Amino acid sequence: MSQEAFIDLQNISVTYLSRTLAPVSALKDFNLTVKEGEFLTIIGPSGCGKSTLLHILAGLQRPSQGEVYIEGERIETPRPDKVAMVFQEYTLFPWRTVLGNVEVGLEFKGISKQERRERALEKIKLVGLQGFETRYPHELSGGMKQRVAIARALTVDPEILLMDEPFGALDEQTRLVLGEELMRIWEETRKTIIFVTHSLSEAVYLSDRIVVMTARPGRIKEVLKVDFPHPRRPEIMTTDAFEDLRIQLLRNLYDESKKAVLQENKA
Amino acid sequence: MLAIGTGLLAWELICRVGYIDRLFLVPPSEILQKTRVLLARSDIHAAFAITAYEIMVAFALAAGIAIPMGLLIGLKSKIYEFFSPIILILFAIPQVTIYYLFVLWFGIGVASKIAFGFTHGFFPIILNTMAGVRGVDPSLLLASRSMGASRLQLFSKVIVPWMLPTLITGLRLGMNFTLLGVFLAELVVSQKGLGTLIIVLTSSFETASLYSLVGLICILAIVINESLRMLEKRLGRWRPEKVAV
Amino acid sequence: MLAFWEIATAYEWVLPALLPPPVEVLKTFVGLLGEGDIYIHLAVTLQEILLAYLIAVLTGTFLGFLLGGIPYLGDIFEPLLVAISAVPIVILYPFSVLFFGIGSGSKIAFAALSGFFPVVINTTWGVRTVNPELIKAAKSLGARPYQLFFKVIFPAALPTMISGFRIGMVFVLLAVIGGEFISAKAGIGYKIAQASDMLDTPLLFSYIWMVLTLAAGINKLLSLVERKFNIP
Ligand SMILES: Nc1ncnc2c1ncn2[C@@H]1O[C@H](COP(=O)(O)OP(=O)(O)OP(=O)(O)O)[C@@H](O)[C@H]1O
Ligand SMILES: [Mg+2]
Repeated sequence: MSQEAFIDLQNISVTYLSRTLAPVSALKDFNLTVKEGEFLTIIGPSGCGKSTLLHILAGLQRPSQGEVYIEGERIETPRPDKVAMVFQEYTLFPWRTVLGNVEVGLEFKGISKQERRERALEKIKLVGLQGFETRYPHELSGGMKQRVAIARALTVDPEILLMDEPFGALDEQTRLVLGEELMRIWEETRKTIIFVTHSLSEAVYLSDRIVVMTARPGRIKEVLKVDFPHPRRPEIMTTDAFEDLRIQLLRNLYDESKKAVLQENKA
Repeated sequence: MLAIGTGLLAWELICRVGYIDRLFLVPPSEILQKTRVLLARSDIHAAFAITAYEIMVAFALAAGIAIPMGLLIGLKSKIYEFFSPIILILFAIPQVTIYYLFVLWFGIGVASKIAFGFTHGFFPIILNTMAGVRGVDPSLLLASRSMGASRLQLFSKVIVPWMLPTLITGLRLGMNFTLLGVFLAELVVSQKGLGTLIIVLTSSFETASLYSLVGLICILAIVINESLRMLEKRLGRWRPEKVAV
Repeated sequence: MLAFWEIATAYEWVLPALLPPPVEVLKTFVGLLGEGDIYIHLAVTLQEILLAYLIAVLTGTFLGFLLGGIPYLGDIFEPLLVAISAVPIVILYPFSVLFFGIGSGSKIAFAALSGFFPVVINTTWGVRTVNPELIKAAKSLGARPYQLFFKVIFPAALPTMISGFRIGMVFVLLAVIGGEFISAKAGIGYKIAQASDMLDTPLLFSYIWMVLTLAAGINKLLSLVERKFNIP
């Protein structure tokens, strides 16, 4: 029970029960601590419980066993003052403009319109969407929608940002650009970010630490440290050190992914 | 436009030439003339007022009861699974079969027409309200919860805006069905109202007036429907179009 | 619930004229089934429903494919049809009687018109909203026009069409019974009107029971057809 841990996941287990199917053990005895200001990436085969983990951190669901602490406080319900989440699907309000979407978190908090607007506009600028404030989500490209979602999460000024495959639905180039932007934002704000991805290069490029998970039930298989200096720019992707890490990650992941696929075939 | 004009001309000509019995088809010019006469008659005004009153009360009741009920049922999966098949089956039953009970309970006056209009308008509204609530994107609810939305905020800022267009569709269909119920009731038994007038005109073989009156009612119904449809489109600009029946 | 109904009526908590005791309804119902007369009326009603529905589905589907397949026509007529469908169709029934007389003809015409709208609107809609990518993909795989129709457009539009067919059936049933109720010489709706006039509630409830069975039976039949074609 390290006192200094900013985020502390203790013995988390999650089992999904269903009326018709056999119970699914998504996470088993999962332990992890995260330091303040750390950029931590979770990577693991499909269905290993990554989203489940983030939902627990966001207070959206309770683990079957174990506890989550943030700054020593137990998390049982959403804590929008501390934690914001970006989902894989854009989860934008289709009837609200870009501005309306970015404001919505502050609106839930009951913050005045004036202040809402100012803070939202600032973050819209940060993600490079100025000029699009009055557009509706269906008028935006996938990359732009995800920027809106990121701005929305940043607007409430959380200490922790949870990102569940935020760039999963985007093409490779857009991904690269948004990844670089995220890096810039992180270097500027030094928020604690827990980031889920399936992309190896994205993981190596962005992270301080990478947690590799096993196939279901998800446990930690390996933790890799990444210590490329900051500011980091995508050019490092062409270096040998980067490639070595990427291959190391791939080795770690490959067997687990195979297991996960076999698991799925059986189910 | 041109097609309609040609059609009207043909209609006029056919009637003028006199192949067809005046009892069935009358030329448009005559209908137009009769319309002018009808619009000036005070008994028509009175009948219109009564029917309009019946429709409005029936519709208000239907909406006022079906919307809260639909919300209640739609919000809880268990309740929804139990009630939705029942409501669907009830909707499929021709209500004229029990019209007699309406008359017994509410008399042959205005009240039974209102009740009959209500039971017709009720179903499309509750079905659409339920569908609207059920259709809310769960990931949006999740995202809102993660941002600290309270239950009330989830309702007012996620569920209501999401279902609003569907609700308007329900109200529109509910209005159509209320009209159907009220006119059906008036055509079966009544002493006043536009339905009664239709019966009178039919049995006295005033075909031109009948065309005119029915035409006017149709136009009115279409205008109401189209305005609600416009509202529906406006409120639903953000979503892909849905089936419109 | 039946027991409660029986007790409530036996103690006359409700007027028997409003709600007759179930036992009496049952007796009347069984008595009815013994008479040959009822089968004639049942046959009349069934025939009207069947013919009207057939006409509604055939014309509605045909026109729906026409309007759905030719964008120019669809743009003009689809909104027109939706607008007209708002008319409380029952006010047109007097015309049907005027044109086709008080017999079955007027019910069939009226009910066919009632059922026509949901069928044509849904078919048009279903065809118009077939994913264009799907059509392109099929074309690129070398689908001939008739294959495109039978293997792509038709199955893709079917679910929407089916829901139109269902609503169409509801409307046809309503129109036939309603038409018979308002003015007729035969049919279940006509018998219901008669029973209503005679204030014979047990008889009325027997007929209502018959209509409910009919509605449920038709519903079941439609479900079976849907299951057969693997439609959710
Ligand atoms: N509500 C639920 N009910 C039942 N089972 C669930 C539920 N949510 C998730 N699961 C199961 O739990 C396991 C973990 O799910 P989770 O979504 O956390 O995986 P994931 O690692 O995020 O996968 P992916 O990479 O595909 O997003 C999966 O096998 C999934 O099928
Ligand atoms: Mg996931």
